[in-house]
Amino acid sequence: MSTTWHADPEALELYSAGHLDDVRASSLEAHLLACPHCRGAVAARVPRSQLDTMWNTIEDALDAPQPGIIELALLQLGVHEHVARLLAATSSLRLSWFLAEAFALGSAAFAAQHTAGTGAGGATLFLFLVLAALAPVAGVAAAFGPGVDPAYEIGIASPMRGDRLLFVRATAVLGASILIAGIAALALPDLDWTVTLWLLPALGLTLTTLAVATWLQPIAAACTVGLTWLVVAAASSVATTDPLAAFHVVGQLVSTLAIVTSVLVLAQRRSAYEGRIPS
Amino acid sequence: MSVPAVEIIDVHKRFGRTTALAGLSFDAPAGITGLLGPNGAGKTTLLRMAATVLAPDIGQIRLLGWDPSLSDERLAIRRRLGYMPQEPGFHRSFTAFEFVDYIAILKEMTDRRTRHDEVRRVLTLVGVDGVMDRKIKALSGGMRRRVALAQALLGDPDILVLDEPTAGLDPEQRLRFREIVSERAGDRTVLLSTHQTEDVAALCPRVVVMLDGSALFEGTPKELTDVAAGRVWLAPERSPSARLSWRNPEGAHRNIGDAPSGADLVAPTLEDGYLLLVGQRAFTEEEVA
Amino acid sequence: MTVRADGDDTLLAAVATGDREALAELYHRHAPWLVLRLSRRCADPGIVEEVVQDTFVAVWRGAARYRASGEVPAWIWGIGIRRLISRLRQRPAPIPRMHAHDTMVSAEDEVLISVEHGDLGAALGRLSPELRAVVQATVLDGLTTKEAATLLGIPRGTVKTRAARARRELREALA
Repeated sequence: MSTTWHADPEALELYSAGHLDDVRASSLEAHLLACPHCRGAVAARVPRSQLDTMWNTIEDALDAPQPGIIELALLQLGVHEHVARLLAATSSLRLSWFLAEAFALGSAAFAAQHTAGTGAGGATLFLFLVLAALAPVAGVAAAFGPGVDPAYEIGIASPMRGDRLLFVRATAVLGASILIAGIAALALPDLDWTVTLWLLPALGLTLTTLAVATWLQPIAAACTVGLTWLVVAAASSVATTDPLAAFHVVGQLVSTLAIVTSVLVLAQRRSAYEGRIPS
Repeated sequence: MSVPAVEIIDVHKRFGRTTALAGLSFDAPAGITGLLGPNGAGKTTLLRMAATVLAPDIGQIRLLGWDPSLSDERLAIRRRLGYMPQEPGFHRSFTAFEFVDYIAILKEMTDRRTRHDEVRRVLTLVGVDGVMDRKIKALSGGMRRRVALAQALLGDPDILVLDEPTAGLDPEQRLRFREIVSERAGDRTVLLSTHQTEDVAALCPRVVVMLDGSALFEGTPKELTDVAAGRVWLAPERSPSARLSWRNPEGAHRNIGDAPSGADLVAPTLEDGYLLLVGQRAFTEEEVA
Repeated sequence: MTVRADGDDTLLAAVATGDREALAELYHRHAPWLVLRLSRRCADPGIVEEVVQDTFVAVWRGAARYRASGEVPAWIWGIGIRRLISRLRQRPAPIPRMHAHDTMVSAEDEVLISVEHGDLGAALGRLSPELRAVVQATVLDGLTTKEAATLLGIPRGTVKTRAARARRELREALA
């Protein structure tokens, strides 16, 4: 429409300085939408340094990783940005892991709900409690180790203290697992103490796994601890008259003992996480 | 006499029944040192030790004077180290930028702005800045190697450990890689392992030849070439006294070994020297067996 | 590949394929006038900068969605003004002073005004600044009542009444 006609320099000058009156300015703006020549004329009047700074910010936004949902949630909780990024790299903190865990626990809880009062009621409840207690252990295993963390070697060679990384991730895994298990537990038949019976064992097992991981590789530690406990829990449930022996008084006391012992071991042996070497 | 940048002192390492390193010793000054050797020579094992990822069973290592068996000195090394493993693993769904950013966090770069600037800097250095926001699984092998090199260059480390960095790259990519490394080297310490004698000839003022877990040779590329002086000749076909022989592009046979009198001697190359050393040892073992 | 000679449409298509340099060229061409135009609607330079930055990030992400349904600059303006409005919705900001109509209209200005707006331009000049701002927002910038309200920092009802008054006055002036 107006390609052969161009705005006069005075108008452009006034416009760039912000002093052009509204009517002429509106007119000029409509013209600028269609005229590359006048756009160029006006561009010369915007400071180069300002444009460069803005472009840098744009590039940063384009390159910067898009936080996933979980990472955004963590940032909302006040977690430092670089810690949140680290956690995002943890495979077990990806959405798929959460969904798998939620599904497993949810199913177990519903099964317990449906079989309550029947002969199988004790077994399904046992199953739920076992899963809830072992979930964080599996999560810790999934977050570490050469088979799972692809950049494992580069990670070892980096200055970040191995124990710091481990604890940050383990805390996140534990927190998330407890949250999911807690929600799933609301589907249990009796909303009494039963709902929390898995909590201390979960903490105890996770901390014991971390402690054992100062000797063994994380996955080996998780398997050893998990399987041992499972066998003991099953055996105690069969041997005694109480199917949930592993979760009742004796079980809770043992869990507490495990927590205390593990904390002491970890305090002593933290540096063992440095330079963990795959054979 | 100044302290060498790298000291490897009688290092032994076994994995189960396999001996990876059997009394390896050598020194390296600042600058680029190339480790040449066939598969199984122990190059990767040694480089992992240099990267503080592995500890020797017996023996000592010093990097810029620090001892990686002491935890605080190990940390000091790691703060000045860039490591590119032989098989760099990547988080599958990360973009190139995200991956290098992750490693940057592990290298204690906590401030987002400066960290992102540094990530962009190293990615531009290796020439992948155009594909920064592509997922790694969508990048070609050559590009992935460059990303792996980029993370090693984070923070401008004083020590660079590169394990077979040019493996699987085509000649043009190898050339580009050599440019990047030689530009970076300066007076930094670079330890790199390779199969390719051309890499060593082009890049490394110092060479160590390894075989079966120990060092066969330590010196300059010229000295390695001179090992084959007077021991390379051309003949119409394979010479019976040659240790190794192969057809060259012109159709004659290049022979290495003890030249018969009157043989048509030619100037040796680095590869000749290397093959003579390595072939000799392997040959001797064959004889014994 | 020199992107400099390409038209905006071509550049935008290249941006949709992930061409960073094409975006840089589009930025070079369009960021300056966008800064100026947005500055006339928001007096806070920090906000204007943020909005321009967000706009080009949005251009990068949404390039594939551009259907050559209008000119590229108009499309970019649409993104920009809407970004500004949603930004102002979160946090109201100072609005630039209205510039009174200059009673001395030169011959060149006559051309300028009449080329774009015809007699409308002169009639617009005779409106009060508040009415003119509403006309500019709703008619020239193409905003909805709600958007115009956020931009100008006035209630929606006020936008409607002023728009109605402006329409009446303009109709009388052009009659």
